[in-house]
Amino acid sequence: MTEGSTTPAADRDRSVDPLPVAEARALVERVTGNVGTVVVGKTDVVEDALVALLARGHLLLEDVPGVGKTMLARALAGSIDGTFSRVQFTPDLLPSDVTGASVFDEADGEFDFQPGPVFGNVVLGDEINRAPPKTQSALLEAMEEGQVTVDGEAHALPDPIFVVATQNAVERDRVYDLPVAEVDRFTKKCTLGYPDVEEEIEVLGRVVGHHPVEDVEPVADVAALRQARETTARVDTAEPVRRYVARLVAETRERAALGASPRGGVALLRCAQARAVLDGRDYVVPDDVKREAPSVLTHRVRADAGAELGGPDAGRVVSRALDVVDPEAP
Amino acid sequence: MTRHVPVLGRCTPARIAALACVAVLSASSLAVLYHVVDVVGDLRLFWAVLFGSLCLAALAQAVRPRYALAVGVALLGAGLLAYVSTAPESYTRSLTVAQVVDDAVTLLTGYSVLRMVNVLVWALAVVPAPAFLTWYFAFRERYAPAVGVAGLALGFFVLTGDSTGTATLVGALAAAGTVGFGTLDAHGATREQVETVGVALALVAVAPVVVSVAPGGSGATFGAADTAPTTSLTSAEERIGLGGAIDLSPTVQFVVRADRPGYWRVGTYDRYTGSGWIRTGESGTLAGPEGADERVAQRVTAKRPLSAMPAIAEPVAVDGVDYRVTSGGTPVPEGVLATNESYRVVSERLRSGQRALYAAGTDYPDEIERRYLQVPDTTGGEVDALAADVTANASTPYAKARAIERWLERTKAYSLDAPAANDHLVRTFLLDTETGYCVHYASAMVVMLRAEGVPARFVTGYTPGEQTGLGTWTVRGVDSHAWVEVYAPDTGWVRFDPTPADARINAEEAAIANATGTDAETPDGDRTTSTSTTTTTSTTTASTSSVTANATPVTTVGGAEGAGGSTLPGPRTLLLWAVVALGIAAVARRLGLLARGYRTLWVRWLPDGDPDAVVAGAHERMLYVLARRYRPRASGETVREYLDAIDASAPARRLAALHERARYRGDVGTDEADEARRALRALRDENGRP
Repeated sequence: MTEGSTTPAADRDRSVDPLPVAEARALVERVTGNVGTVVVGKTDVVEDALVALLARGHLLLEDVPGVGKTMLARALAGSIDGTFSRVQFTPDLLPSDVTGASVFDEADGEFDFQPGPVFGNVVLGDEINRAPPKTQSALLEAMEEGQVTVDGEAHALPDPIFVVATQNAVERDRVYDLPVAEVDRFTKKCTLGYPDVEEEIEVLGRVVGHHPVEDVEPVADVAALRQARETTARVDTAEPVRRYVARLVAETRERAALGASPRGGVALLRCAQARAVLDGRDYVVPDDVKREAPSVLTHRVRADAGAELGGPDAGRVVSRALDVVDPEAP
Repeated sequence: MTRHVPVLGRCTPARIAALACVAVLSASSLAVLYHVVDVVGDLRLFWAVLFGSLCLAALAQAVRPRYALAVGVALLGAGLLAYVSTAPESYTRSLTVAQVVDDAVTLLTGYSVLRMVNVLVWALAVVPAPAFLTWYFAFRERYAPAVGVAGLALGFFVLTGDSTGTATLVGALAAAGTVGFGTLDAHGATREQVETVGVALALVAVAPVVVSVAPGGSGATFGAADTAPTTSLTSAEERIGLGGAIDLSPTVQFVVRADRPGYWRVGTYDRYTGSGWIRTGESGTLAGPEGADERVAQRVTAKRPLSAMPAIAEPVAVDGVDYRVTSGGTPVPEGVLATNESYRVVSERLRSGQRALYAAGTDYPDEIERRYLQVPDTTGGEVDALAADVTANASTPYAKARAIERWLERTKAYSLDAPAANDHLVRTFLLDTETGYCVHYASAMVVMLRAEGVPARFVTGYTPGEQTGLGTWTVRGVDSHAWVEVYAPDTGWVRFDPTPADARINAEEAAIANATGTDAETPDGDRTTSTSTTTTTSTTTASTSSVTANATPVTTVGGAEGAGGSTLPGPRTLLLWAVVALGIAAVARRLGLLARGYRTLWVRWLPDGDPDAVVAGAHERMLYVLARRYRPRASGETVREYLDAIDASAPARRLAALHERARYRGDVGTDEADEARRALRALRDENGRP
């Protein structure tokens, strides 16, 4: 797979009719509201997740355990009437545990492909940084290419497929940090964080007894989501906007040991498109870009040679670039 | 601007020096207005207005400069409005922009403000604005604007010709000093540095004198040369300076053929400035006296270039040359009469003029009273008392005129070597030197008559001259003369001549004899070489045909330079204008006025074009307006963020939304362009007022 295939036009199914922007926006609002019945108070992150979904990307959540990452993914899957699967990454997890494997069927004497957990509309890769690199890359290649190849045979993944991977932010000594090239494949990186006291009271009230995630009713279907993604892909990106994105990305490269990659720029523009849809527009304005830049760019930036990828310094690099680059420049 | 407002009482050497220089500079321009008010009105008014302006300047210290500037402009505007509202109805009726521009140009090309009929109101109207602004800025230690305002005022009077060379030089030095000391003050200079600037200024003042003394030096001295002719910078036709020694040349000026001789009148003057006479107003008509019973036809042939048309009073018809009529009822040629050019003039007079005055009452028309009873404020007092004393036994205007005439003839000594001019010529002549020639006698008589409430005017011209044939009179420079006309109701102007006739004739003959001995007879010479008796206040060297402090009322023009100079300003004037214009442009640029002025126009003028460009233009102007009102948009800020941050109004947001569509979607049409225009207009209206 080449870098070129990540451009917005290349990997999209042109046979899908786009929804009107207003309907796409309504769909997003329905889903957001629906997920909100399960995940209390995290509207921003839910929106971020939907932006990543519409932008045909994947979401990396870095969090302490137990803040509702799984609930988010499951509620999202339930809301769009899609399939949900979960992979718990452990140090002994093998690539085929993710992708699936060919199993010899003694009845007809052939190898049958048994799909792994990656075959789902919403795939939760839990604690992805606890598995060895080889296993990690199996998932990441799957989500990049939209298919898995087992024993020389290609198997198409469902469309849409939306991977929500989580990283354990504690216990950093027993993890395999994701290499730069793989982190780069996540469109956005977000943090749910702890709820505040009021939210927590609400959470406690909701989940004792019967967990609401069991009751999530679909408010959209997978087909509509595909259409909404097509709508997003067709949102206008004018030359000044593209220039703004390019200058932002270039600025991070000026200011950090490792700046955002070209793939980061593409991701940023796509997310800006999705953000425009959320705002009911069929064209991108710089505000969309500015809104998306921190969550899209930060995890791709390493401020200094020894610094952590996407650490606090990286955040400063991005916000400084946003302060410096003039979105209204001619 | 967060600039601190300095304490008024702060005293450093540099600040004291700077404020002193501001005072001198301000005074050098206000001096002209002081003089004007002195001539035509009550000086207490001037002091009151000036005091009020300075108080306002002191009170306005806390106000921001732009508001103070607005106050200054408003003061000036209100003053000029007051001036226009008190102007004669005939003037206001014909008031157009072109007329105003024309008047301004006329003023700025050497039309002394004293020639304005209603100059008192004008002078009082223009005092407050420069005084207020100059001192407002000076108190706030913003010396550059202070100098700018005061310098503009001084420059104005330089251009009108009312500011003398000395006053202008002093003003320029004060301006330089203000800036120098002000800069030193701002940087906390030491006493030595302040003194250095003082020395430099002194050098600037002294250098011209020294340079002119040096061999081959051509610098103009000031002081010595300044005393004689400074009052007559403008054309002598409208203005006559007094004092100083007089030049009586034996050169033949013109020849008259007429049935009988008379006083060949050249000009009449109504306004006495203390140091000279000015004719106010622009133009008048030729009119004879009521009940005229004698007509005199004259043919006058110029024997050297003349810029006047001598004729017996009152001329009623002229032909032979192009001419215009002054407000005093005398004809003057358009351009200059060439040698041997001649014209014919018919005059009417009342043979029984003095008798008519004898019988006349004191029921003067308002117009006459307004114009011909003016005496400078500072001349009054003792002169009034003297006039009252001399006319103690006279009850009618005629008796008063006779009494004053006789008293002058009897008690004053005739001399062509009169003492040098000063600002109170009549007072000096009457009370101090008691020596003078026709101009002094005539001026003194007019002033005394006016003090007694009798309208009178100062008249220049020539005595009949020498009869050189049957009905032919040859008139020379030595025949130039000044006399008095007294107004008699229902009759008109009646001539009086207070100069002792025999003394005058003796002096003239002596002059001619003297000239014959040294300079030979030059009856028709073009030369203006003067006799040895006097200083040569030469008329040939002045490019603007100026007659200086002598009594020669006919302007003699030397060379071709003067002939063309009567309509177009001379090259020197143009150069001066260019320098002034450059200076103003530089100051304006320095203060950012040009850029701001351009921006102001730019914000208002949104060109047509394709809708995208219109919306983009409107948006750009919106950002400019908002930046001035609130703050500029920060570099990394999107327009939405900016509008949120300044809590912008609905029109701004509407315009921003239109711009987003135009810029990021590119599908705006003429409707959107019109909407953008409307939004911009609404925004301007919102933010137009501070």
